[in-house]
Amino acid sequence: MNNLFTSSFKKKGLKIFFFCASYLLCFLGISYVLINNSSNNQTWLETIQPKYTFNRNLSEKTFSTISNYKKFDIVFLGSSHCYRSFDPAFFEKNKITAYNLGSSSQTPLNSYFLLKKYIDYSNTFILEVYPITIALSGYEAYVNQYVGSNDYWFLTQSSFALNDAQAIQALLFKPFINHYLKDSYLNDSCFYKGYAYTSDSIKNKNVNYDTITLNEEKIEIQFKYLEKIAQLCAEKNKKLLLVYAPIPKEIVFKNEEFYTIKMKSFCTEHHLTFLNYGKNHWLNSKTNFIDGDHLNAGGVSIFNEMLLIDLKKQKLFTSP
Amino acid sequence: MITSFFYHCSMLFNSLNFIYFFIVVLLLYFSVPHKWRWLLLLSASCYFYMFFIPVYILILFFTIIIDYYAGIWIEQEKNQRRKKTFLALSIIANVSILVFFKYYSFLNDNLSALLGLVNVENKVPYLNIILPVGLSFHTFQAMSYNFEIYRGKQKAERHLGYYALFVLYFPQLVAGPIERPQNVIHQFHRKHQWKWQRCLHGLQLIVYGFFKKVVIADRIALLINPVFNNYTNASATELISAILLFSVQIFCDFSGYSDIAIGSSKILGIELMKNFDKPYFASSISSFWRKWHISLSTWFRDYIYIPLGGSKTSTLFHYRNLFVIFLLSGIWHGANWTFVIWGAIHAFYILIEIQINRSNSSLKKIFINPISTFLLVSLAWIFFRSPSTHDALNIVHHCATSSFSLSFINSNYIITIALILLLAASEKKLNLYETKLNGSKEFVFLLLTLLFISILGISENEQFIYFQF
Repeated sequence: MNNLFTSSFKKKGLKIFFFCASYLLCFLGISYVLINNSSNNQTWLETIQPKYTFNRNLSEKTFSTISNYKKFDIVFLGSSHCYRSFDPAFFEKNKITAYNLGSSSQTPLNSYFLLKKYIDYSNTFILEVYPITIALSGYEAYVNQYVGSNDYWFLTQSSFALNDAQAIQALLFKPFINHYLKDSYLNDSCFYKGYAYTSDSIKNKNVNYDTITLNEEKIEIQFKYLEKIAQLCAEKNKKLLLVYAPIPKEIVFKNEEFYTIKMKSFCTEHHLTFLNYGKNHWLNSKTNFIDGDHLNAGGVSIFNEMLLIDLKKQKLFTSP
Repeated sequence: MITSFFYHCSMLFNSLNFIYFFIVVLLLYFSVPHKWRWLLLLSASCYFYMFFIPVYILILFFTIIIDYYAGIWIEQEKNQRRKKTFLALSIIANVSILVFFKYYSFLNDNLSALLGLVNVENKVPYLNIILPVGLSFHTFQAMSYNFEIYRGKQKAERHLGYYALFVLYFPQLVAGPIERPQNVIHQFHRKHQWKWQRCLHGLQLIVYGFFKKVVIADRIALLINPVFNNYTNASATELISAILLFSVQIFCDFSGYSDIAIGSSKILGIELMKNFDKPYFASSISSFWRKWHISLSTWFRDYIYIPLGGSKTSTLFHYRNLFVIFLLSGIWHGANWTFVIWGAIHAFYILIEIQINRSNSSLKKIFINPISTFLLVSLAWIFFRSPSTHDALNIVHHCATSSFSLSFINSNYIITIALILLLAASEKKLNLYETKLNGSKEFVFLLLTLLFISILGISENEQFIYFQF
């Protein structure tokens, strides 16, 4: 300890404190201005920082509504493909209680921390595994979750797992977001237990289906979190099912095989069931989808019927 | 793909992992007695390297042992011929590893293509080899050690630990600067005291490096990657902008990395060589190469160009020597013909420059100035950036034939241009390698740079472009 912590360190202490205080003050001041001003329906922060896209309303509703309940037969986890594909109301009609914890761009990394937080809410978890979301970093979902959640421990854990300084820094924005960010993404009549209802379809719209190349590097990272999810469920004696919800058959993934092979070997290794409806369905791309890849209400009711039959085959529920 | 996955898991300078790691190393370094510091730095460097693919550390140990003994033998041997043999032994060991890991697939592909011309099947097996991170950098650094002993400019290091530290030293292990033994080894032996001023100087370099990387380079990447990935749909103006922006991106990416490496090392008390000297202010291509990736260009100059005769030979041999170093520099960057062509283009530029300088014509004013130099360098970067020569030529073709449109310019584009102008001004004004900012200038510089990084930085842990080499 020869010379690092000598008296010069103490003398510098005050200067360091002054510098940190100045930095924090400037940072918060600038953030305040950037969040409270907008142009073209975007806050200035979202304009200068393409990483921030806030879907506050949905995640806020999802996280606040679940706190009114204690237990469900099934909890769904995943991205927009989750909150647009699994309707708890449909399952309730069939005497199965359910909740949809889907949030925009939710990757297995984000789902893992959600699962840890809500593990006692159910004995059965269904994870939606859309290839595109499995190939994301998880940052976007993190931003969407943190605008809707006040659980700083959960958010801090997720931000450190992302290994992204900005995710940690984003926590400093939070007080401003809670008070000032205006967002009317979803109205109440379209929301039920985490499910986002839309009856629109793309019948009369032109949709270009581009060929998509999945980011294999990110898929590798997200599979590490799938491993963690599988381990956590095994430790807590919870059932886990992986579901790939339907997408239009016109979507082409250049390297889909990479994903499929990995998913198959992962499920074999962990003795998990993988229900792949991705393109194995008879849904109509024009009438059963809202846009290029999300189901609408009509599509959801058909898909949920199919899913329920398959879930019953898995003997997941004691109720009829 | 697998390689890039390992890069992601690695301790990139722009990751939180590196920040935690560096703080721990720093605290321990100034807390342990001097006699154990080499061991601490060596262990930390091994740990740093093993974050990539742990088993690959064995490759480094192998070359370290060979080069260590070769160095001692070269120094002890009086017979010039045997001296040369020991030097050759060390070079062969290093180059063989480099060729196997980096060029095996490239050579095999080309062999298949050649044999295909005469309808013969290539029986050499294809191997899925993952390139060890920073292989080209630490191999060249290791080779410089025995070159310098052979030239009598460096004494062979008798302590294996200190020699291993020279090769493995973590701040410059994976992307340089490619150091010379006489600059660094003696510094490892010296006892370094903790000095606030030195630490703040290092910190200034680190934050400036981060600014270049996460505020400029990664922001440019967001704008230009989609253009290069889908260049057939881009307008000519969009493509030309993307090419010019790539020139800035690669500078910020690589010099940003070097700044962080030099700054981190400075905090520990070890001075590393300057790797960039405002290259885009160079008024000629030859001047550009004296300012760009200095540690590599001087490596080629000292160990290949000058031994071949340099410019002090006949015109024909002088030109040959230029081509040799630029083609080697190209292939050093990657196992792809695009890099070879990139090197050849620069060799042509230099030949033309020599002719223009000799002729004293009016062309001198047109071609020998910073703007022309920047444009010529940018043109050559097309080959560097493209995955294949076919793509590079197509990009050039699209630049010449596509429509002109400015519809791609959005608020992000304007912010990026403003940031680049700010960078140009600070590059012109600051000389952080040599001079530390003091007093209020230091306070304002650190405050502003950190604010830029935290508010405008793109921190998706983008890997450094030069890590792939």
